[in-house]
Amino acid sequence: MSLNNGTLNLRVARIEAVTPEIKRFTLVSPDGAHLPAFSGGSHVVVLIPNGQNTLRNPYSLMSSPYDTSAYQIAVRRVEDGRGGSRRLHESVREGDLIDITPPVNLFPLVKQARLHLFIAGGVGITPVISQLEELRLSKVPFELHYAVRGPEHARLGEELQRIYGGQVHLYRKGVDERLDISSVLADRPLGSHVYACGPDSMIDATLDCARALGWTDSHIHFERFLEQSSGGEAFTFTLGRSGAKIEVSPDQSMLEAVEAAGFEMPYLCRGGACGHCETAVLELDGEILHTDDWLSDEDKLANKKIMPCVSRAKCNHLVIDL
Amino acid sequence: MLITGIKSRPVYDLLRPLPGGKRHIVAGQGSGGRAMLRLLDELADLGQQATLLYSEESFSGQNFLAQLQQQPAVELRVYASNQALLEDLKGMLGQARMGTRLYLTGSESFLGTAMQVYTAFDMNRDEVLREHSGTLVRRVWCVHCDTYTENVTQRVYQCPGCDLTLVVRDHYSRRLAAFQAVKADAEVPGELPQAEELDT
Amino acid sequence: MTIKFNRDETYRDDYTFANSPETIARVPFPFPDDDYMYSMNLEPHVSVGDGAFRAAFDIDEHYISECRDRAITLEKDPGMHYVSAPHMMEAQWDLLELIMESYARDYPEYFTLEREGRNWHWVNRLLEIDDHFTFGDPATLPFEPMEYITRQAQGDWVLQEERDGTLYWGAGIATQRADYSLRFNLGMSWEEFHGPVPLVKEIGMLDRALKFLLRLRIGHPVRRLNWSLTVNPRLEVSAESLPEWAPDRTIVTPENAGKRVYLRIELQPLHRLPRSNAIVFPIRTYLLSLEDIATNPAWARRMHRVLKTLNQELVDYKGFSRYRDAAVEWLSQYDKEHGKEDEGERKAG
Repeated sequence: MSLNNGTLNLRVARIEAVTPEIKRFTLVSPDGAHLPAFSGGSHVVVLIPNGQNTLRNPYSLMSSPYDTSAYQIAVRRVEDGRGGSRRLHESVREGDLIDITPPVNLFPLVKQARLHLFIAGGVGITPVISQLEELRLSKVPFELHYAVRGPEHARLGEELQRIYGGQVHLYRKGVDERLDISSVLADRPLGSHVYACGPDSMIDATLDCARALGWTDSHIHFERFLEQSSGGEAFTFTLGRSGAKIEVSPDQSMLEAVEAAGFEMPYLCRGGACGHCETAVLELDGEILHTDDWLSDEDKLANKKIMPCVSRAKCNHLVIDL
Repeated sequence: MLITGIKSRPVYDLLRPLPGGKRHIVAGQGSGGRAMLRLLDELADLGQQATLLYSEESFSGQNFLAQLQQQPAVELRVYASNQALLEDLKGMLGQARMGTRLYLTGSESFLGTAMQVYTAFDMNRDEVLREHSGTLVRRVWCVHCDTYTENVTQRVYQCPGCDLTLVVRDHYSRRLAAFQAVKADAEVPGELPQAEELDT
Repeated sequence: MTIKFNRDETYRDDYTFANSPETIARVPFPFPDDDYMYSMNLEPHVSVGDGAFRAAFDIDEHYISECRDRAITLEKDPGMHYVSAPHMMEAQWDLLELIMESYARDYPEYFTLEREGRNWHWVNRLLEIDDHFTFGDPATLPFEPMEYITRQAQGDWVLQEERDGTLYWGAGIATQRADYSLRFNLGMSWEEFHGPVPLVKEIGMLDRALKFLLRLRIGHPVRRLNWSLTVNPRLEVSAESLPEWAPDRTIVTPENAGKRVYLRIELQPLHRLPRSNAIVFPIRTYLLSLEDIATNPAWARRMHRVLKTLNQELVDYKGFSRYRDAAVEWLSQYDKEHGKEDEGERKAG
């Protein structure tokens, strides 16, 4: 295994279809070495060659943090995305080498928790799988409530039911009852924590229900699907320090456009959550379309900062401090 | 509110209704009754009532029980000692559900030992407020024999556990809910630091 | 690289601890300038040369004796020198993994680690340990994972958990701590446990250092050096045992300072831990008598100037107000051009 420019070069040991849309990739070190250890909820960024450019898609690790002989990720094929997941589904074969960044965790378990409640939808189950592996060593109770669009999408949930039994509640559309988030969260002991990962509507419903029941924010945790957050209308902006003009195409983020132009900027999550790429706005004629979870509402109104990994602008003129 | 140069001493709050709470537990001791009454008024303005826990133990002899009994409340429980209150609070939190807000007021020792109780239930800063009241006496831990001494007012004092003459360091441990004291004449026996009143 | 180990040194009672010239030459001398003040002296912890910065966690000729001194201290006062909060178990396994991987990689002649999935086999030839255990299962080890591995490691180790944008003491093994109490400090936040340190808050360093450490990433450790002085080569100088060792501060004279006064150098290679997201603060202590230091005249000259001009608040905090002058006087023989007569000028400069 080699670490080049901060990326791991790994061999694709196995590719398996787990639902009509999701493939599970098992990645190992070409020389058989152990991979860097990680914690439940971590993600890696997969570097996907795309002509002249490189697409960088984040994926949660779904293997056990206590066995680092391999990593597993689940890739959902997104038809109207920028093509990264399509390329992974169609072009990558078992035995191929791919580059990924080392694991980073922006969705960790709370170690003082007295009860963990997981609410997941679709491919949002992936970070939860590694979190449950981590909980195997702990005596803290947990429940998983997992909703999927139909029985053909339920395989990962059924695998978890086989391992964890009655702690896993599966909601297959058309087969089981509907997931009622409010009753999942009701009447829970002090020290409960809820973790939501799935479509925006599910996360928003979790936030609303928890707050309505009097839960405070320190007990509510969520991770949005990262891949869907880019995309929009083309626009142009300027790097304040070099004066370079950067054009952002409809299927690019500002961060990707900066990288494609040969500049570097700090990043971790590429999903508007971690704060690493926060950049000051120096000049603006127009509006910023903030779509991150990092900046406060006041910051977003003030338009003095932007998160280039997800947010875009509708503007005649924008200069950022880079 | 306590403001000192001791960087490890907790910064205390002012009691005010915490937003979103479904159940309010207000626990106080001695002169902390005054802050309880103020908070109950503010909760009443929001149409909310609380479960009250009051300990009559007091260093300064102040007692607000009569006024608290006049207040509309879900329940008022009264205790002769802080220790008895904290025991009951522990049982109550064990049965409590998410959506609970906890308000504490009293001496630094009471707040510190109450913090040991609620921390075990993973209650966080957005669920608990603590208001200090009364004098600045300290609860002090002897590093040599593990004895806790309540209501220490002097920089140099004698440890009831090991009889050593100790000097109180301006360093506070939230886990032990106490300041630290070490042998005052450790370098040269009999050579003591200057006596002084603490926090003056 | 072969190390000739001193097997029977003592760090107490008759103090037979002694450094070889090779060991003196390889310590990380902590004074880059003639004046000392706290600074953000953090640098990437990359392997440099074949001294103390070669390995991730350095061991030297004192390894066996130091491990024995730790065992004596732990047995004497159970629960005083090793403490862990119950939720630190992931971090404990992280630390065990990091130390085993590092020692086995950097010192393959002394340590071997074999892994089959979660079944691990650890061999420590220096302490004659050969154990099989299940990674992640504390029942398969004779101690908690942190105590188990740090009984076989040089230096003190503190695990800090990250929560609410700061770091908290979650666990520690400290048989070499400089006048603090582990039980007292456990559970404290970054700001709280630095409370007694003078000047550091005022110069804004605490906040900057915390911000830096919160960004510390797995696989990218950093190191810093700290230092203090102590009388005699004594490792166990905790707050608890103050009455045992504080009287030694009164015995130092300008004549015996060379033998009695020891510079304690603390090498701290900080690592982010992968599963727990905790940060480990190792405090690897090197003890050098002033005579040891004087075997390198440039070091002795530098140290003379540092001690002479050191801010009095730092002298008080580090606990050598009583013998600073004696140490300075002993060192002055190695710094002729900075004798007593130009003291005023030094301080002004």
